[in-house]
Amino acid sequence: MRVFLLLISIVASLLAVLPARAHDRFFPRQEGEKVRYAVVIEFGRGYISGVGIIASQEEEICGVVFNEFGVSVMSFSYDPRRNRVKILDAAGKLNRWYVRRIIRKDMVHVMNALQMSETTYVNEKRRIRYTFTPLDSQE
Amino acid sequence: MGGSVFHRHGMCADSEIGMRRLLVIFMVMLSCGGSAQTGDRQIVDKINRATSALASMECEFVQTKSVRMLNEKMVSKGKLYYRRADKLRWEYVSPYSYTFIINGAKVYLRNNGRSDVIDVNRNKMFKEIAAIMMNSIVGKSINDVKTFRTEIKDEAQEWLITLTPQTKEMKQMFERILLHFNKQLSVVDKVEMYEKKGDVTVISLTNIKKNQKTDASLFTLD
Repeated sequence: MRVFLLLISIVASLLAVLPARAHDRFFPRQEGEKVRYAVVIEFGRGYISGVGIIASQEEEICGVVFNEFGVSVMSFSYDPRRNRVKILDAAGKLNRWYVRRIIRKDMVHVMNALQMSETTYVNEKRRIRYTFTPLDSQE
Repeated sequence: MGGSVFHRHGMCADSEIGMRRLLVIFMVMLSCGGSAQTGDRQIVDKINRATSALASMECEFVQTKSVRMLNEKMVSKGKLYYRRADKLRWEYVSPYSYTFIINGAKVYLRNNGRSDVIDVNRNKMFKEIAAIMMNSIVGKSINDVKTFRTEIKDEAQEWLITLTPQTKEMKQMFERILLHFNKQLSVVDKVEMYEKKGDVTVISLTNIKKNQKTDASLFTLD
């Protein structure tokens, strides 16, 4: 028993001195981290393109998407613990309640995809394709 | 779609709003919009005369988007080309590649390899944009009292023009727009756009060259 506890202590000590998790260029995992993306949201015959910025703030993730001219498209927050997205603000036709609901659910999948280092999520039913490509991979 | 040049990937309404914003930017760069007091009227006339004499322009620009919610700034850089009477190229080169071209009845868009061509005669919104462009280019003052209320401050090196939106659509986009008209250069060399939620976009023009020869190929997609 004593040997077992000693081994546990040694393992715990080793874990404590391991280096901090390496920076993830796909998703901000540590507080204060921000990741920028080239964003394309395709639906039907149209699409929205622009820039996305996602930041880790305290215990939630916050993000904004705006087009190339700086016009805000939407802002959202993501709770990783509950795996839920809240659309804080949406422009134009995105601000309709049924559109917000679709986007809110889809953005959960987008957040999950980015955490898996995947840049694309497709809503097959609605035929909406979300692409968030880290900008540093394009520069 | 028969003989239509409308690409199957048309522009969504939200990108159209972005286009409107760009046109507002460019429109006020070339002329001065909105109502003005009597004293301001003389300044507006001076500005309009200066811009009417503009046959072409090319410059570089730096666009800084300040996102209040994230306490973050996004800097984009690009180049702008303009040729009287109906040609404009607005090109972002960093950190993303995006090109917007107006050439007569056509609007060309290029976004990281994806290209779209829009025939303004088949698209009401873009037809309106082209009309605004044409009126701006021929020097017609944009005295649209319905769109902006204008206030002008006479500074030493510039005229500082504050445009306050009056229409519902413009109010949704901007709280106010500040134009910095450089007296020496006789052009707007800085635009500040303030959104209601606190975001600010500032576009600064540099290396401005006026009335120089511009290559026609700049106003098409190769």
